[in-house]
Amino acid sequence: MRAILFLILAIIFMFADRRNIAFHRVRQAMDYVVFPIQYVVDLPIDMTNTIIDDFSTQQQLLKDNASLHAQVLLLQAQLQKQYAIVSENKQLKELLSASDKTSGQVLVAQLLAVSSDPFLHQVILDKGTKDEVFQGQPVLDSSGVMGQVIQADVFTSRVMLLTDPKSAIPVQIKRNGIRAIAAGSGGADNLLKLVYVTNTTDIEVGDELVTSGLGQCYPVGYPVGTVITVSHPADSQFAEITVAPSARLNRSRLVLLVWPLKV
Amino acid sequence: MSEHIHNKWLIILIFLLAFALDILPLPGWSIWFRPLWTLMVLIYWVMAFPSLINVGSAFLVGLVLDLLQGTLLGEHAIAMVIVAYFVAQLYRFMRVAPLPQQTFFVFILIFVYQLLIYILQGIVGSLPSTWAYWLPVLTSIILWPWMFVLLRDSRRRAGLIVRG
Repeated sequence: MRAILFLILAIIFMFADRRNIAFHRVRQAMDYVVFPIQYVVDLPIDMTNTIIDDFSTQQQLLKDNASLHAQVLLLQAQLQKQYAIVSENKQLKELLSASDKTSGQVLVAQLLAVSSDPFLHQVILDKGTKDEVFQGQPVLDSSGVMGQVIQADVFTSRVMLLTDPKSAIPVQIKRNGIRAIAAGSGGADNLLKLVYVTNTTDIEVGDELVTSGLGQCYPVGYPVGTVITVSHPADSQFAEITVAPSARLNRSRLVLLVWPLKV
Repeated sequence: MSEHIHNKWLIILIFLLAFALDILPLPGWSIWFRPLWTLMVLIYWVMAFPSLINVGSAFLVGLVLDLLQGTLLGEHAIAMVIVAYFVAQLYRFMRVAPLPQQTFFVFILIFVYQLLIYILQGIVGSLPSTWAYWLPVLTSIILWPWMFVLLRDSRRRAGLIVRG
């Protein structure tokens, strides 16, 4: 029976895709087939944006320009403060003879305007292995960590967002340095939860979480999210803590790909 | 001969259109309402040409959908093959049934499809945890009568006659 043959083939594909690293090459090759479809869907949306840009009035441009100038001044002022702190930090670290982990090279990528299954929490970027994107690469936006690359194809790459149920990121609390792991909740509400935090741990609503850099995947010190609820269920020794991600996961169109420097 | 090639192009074109609709970005609140375009198109074509479009095409279509959606390769393929198998067995009944009955039958097929994906996601370990996951079944079935009439008319306009 042909149906059974194809079913068995599909099951073999599923196993291979899940278990076998070498099979990912095959999948990468197959993605050439679907790239044109993604491109064709993205193109009109991309073009509409370009046209909107082209037709924005001079007044709007002048206004934008003025506000951007103001922003640059502000940022430069902050940066000057930052320089002093960075050099001081470096000196202190040298005193402690700790290795200095600065964040490395970055590249701006754009989201392709195509969507995946809603329960997967993935997005597709317009940069791939031809721009040296690699699997496991951290992805940030202007306000925090977004996720990591889980599949790098030649022209595109697939990013798993922090809210995916398979995602987990090592974090620490900015206020007191307590470390924890923030896992994706996988729900439609786009939240994270802190797992295995004991009831006695000092965590409050409003605490800010940053990456701890443990696990060697994400760079240190980038904002991850803010604690929004803390509850202590009576039947468990762990607290239930939900976190709202600080990256604008479903609104950012421009993101940053980071190449961490090897330590 | 030329008609034969022509008809294949129509089928492929409509499949491509369905793929595009399946990945078209939608505003955030509406992502869970997206109908299962590709599945509906597949059900229709299997019903119309069961000897040309059957489990084999369903397998390929499912794989393309897996690549587009980023799911595990073979996941949608399994569900599509099973649905296509049932349609290929029951196409005679589905063709002559009145539209409401046919719609009810398609509802069962679409529900089975969504259930299969649910089970497979569960095995893979990322079970969709919201009831909104089942909304596409509803939106698909509301659209089915229109889809059916639209596809039937475009098939007739292309001069294709249903075959056994």
